[in-house]
Amino acid sequence: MKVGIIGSEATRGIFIFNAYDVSFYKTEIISYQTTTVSNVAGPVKNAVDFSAYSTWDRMIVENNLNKVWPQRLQGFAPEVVVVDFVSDVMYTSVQHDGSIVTRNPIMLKHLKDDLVDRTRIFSDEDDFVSGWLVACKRLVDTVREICPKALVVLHSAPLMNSYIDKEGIPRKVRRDDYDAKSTLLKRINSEGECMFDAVIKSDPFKFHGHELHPWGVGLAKYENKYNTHMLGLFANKVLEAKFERSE
Amino acid sequence: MEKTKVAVVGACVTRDCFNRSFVPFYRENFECVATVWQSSFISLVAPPTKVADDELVGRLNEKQLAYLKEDIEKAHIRKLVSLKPDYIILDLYADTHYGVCNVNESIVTCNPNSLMKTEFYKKNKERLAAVSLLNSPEQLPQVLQAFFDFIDLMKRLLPDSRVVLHLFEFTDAFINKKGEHVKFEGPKYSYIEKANSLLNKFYEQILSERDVTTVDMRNRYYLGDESYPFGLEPYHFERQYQLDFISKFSLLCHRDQLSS
Repeated sequence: MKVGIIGSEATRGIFIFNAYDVSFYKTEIISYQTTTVSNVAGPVKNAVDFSAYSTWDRMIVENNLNKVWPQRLQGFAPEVVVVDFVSDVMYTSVQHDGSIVTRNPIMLKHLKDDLVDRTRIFSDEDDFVSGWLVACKRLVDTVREICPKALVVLHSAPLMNSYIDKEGIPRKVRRDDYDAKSTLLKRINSEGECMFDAVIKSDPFKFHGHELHPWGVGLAKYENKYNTHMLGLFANKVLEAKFERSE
Repeated sequence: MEKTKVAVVGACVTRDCFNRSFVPFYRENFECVATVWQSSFISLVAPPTKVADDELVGRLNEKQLAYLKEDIEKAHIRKLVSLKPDYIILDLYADTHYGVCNVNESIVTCNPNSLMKTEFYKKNKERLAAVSLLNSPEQLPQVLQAFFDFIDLMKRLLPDSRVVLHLFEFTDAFINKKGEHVKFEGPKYSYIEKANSLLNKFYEQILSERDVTTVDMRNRYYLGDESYPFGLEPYHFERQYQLDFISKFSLLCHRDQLSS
């Protein structure tokens, strides 16, 4: 089954670090660590030479500057598209060269001088949510237009405020911005739900991150238990939708 | 060997660490000689007052009534002085959660387990609105001052006792009876994040202004416990919590003994 990902490590991890056999799913990153507002903006005015970039960096930067995710989606033609909004709260959207781009670590690595001092485009949370809702609708509409038969799934991803350390002891993540980011993510997950064919979320269960996670400790780098649980939910939702459609 | 005498000025989050149901062996080393139960520090340093016994009737058990009278009459100081504990362990549960109200020109803890169950409260409900850190965060300086006044009072009246502050946080999830980890959800628990942020602010201010000994329980993530004997709450932790608290506190006492 071909699964396109528009999101972050939160979703990508489900199809990599899992107790179940994930070989059944062929995943492709359509857009990664990029905000929704940036995804639906127009391309930048000036062309950039990506020849010196690594494949990974190019994948992220090229999409941010030239908004190539719709072409990638068309080329891959997935049966399911999974979207998460972790990047919307982890990174900020800023104006750049006639467009809106994401200020994430890879973008900063290559365009630091252009992006570092830019003020974010939204002034407060309500302003952010109203702008985000418009962008989210446009993103989902675009996905449906390009892949009308695909199931569009929201991974209502949480941010983890705890992780299991190397000794197996649960620890708290100490980040001043955790509460604000987590609350905002919950809000946009909840407001965006109605736009999707299906939603997978871990509530009411509580999961943690893990210090031994191959990508390190992070707010959206989950323990395998989470990924396994979510893959089970995902498989169920896909089956349910297939069954409904065939009826 | 003589046991270390402990007084708890706080709530179950501290008191349950000195309960054999949670830490079966705690009495080998410790004796909990006094409990000042769920009293706000603002109430503890306020002048004594009086409420007639016949107004304190209600659905309270004997213990709850005794603690309530102590809170109203400020009898805790006499109690602590007479029992001379080696350690007085404090927590900020009552100030965060319950708050205070004005009673007969003094201040009393607005405790749902005692005052709020009385006829006196029912009759005077409108003028006894609770002011707590949760509903009035601007009260933080008053609570802070009351906390400092209380520890100064303890230092003056009990110079050989050591004051220890228990640094705790509320948890956002619990272990259910099936062993699953489940989030505390719904309006009843919507206070957790706000309360933790207040508590941490409070701890930070205390520690920046005074050299207070602490037992810091915040570096590990603990879950609540659906099987907790006193009910499921974000401060009724899994057994590991009480065991870890006693271990940390024992180490602190041991260090004190070695250095004395």
